Amino acid sequence: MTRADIDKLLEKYFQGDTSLEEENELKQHFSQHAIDPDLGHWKPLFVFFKEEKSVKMPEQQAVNLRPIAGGKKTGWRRFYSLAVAAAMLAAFAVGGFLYQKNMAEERARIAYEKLHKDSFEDPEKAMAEIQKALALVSRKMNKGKKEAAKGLQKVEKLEIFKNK
Amino acid sequence: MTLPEFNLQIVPLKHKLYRFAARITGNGHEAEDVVQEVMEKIWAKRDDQQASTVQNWEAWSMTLTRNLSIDKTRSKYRQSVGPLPEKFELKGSARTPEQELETSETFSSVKKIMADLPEKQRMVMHLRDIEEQTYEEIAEILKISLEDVKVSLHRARKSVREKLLIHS
Repeated sequence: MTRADIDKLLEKYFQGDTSLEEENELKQHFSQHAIDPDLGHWKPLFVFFKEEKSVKMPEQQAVNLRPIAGGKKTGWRRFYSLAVAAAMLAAFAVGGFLYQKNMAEERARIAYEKLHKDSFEDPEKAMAEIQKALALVSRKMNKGKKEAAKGLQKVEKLEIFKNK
Repeated sequence: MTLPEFNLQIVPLKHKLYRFAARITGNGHEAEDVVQEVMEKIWAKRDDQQASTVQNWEAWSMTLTRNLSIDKTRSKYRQSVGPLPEKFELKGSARTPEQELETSETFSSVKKIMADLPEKQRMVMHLRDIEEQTYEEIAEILKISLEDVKVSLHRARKSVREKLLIHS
């Protein structure tokens, strides 16, 4: 590249009009040891750009992104602490759920037993209770029949009145 | 996203994210914290609705790095030339001690000039001149228009040019 080419490219660069390829040409050019002394003040800029791209995260932190050494919980260490806390919370939640489930099953078992257990040991007492219950049903039915008969009489009277 | 996918697509970005975070925060240790937070966030949100629509994980990671770095910078007093990462120094090459010293001094000047640029100009210049991103990629990462990218880059280079001429 001639001096005129470099000057032109530099002007284009500072105007913000260069392509990535042209910018790389400038970086390559200024990386050489022998450059025109008049252009020496631009050298650090382009060499700086080129060298900066090779900067890497310090290995201590980069390997598996381990937490930073020190008392303060940061990064993955904090992440692991949260994970442990979450696991403990999950364990309590599962434990609570299982306890509730057992209690519900126990209550259901007791209710089932109550329902299916014989109420009376003595058959005569059982018969007496049944008769009592049936008598109650019978009384209620007779009362219902009387009420129905009264209602029917009223309807018949209305029919007669209507036909007159 | 599975763990192997995460290891393949996200973890290799760590150096690039670190450089970007260091450029914004001006501090190597904070940049390390930012990268770790970015990794944690991506892993935590890997199955979210928003994450499932991500086309470009690199741009997404860079945007997240920018946001977290800016948050960190604004929450603390920003040191314009803080303890930058050790590897900001040139690696050993066939240079004489005099050349090393000279390079180190001139690099410090460039570093300071860049650190003193306004935040947006500094980010745009870093992404273009160091990471060699296209204008479109820069616009996507910084969530600004193409025109804004070009204007910011032009202003940043103009400012750097003027300051370098004064230094020389």
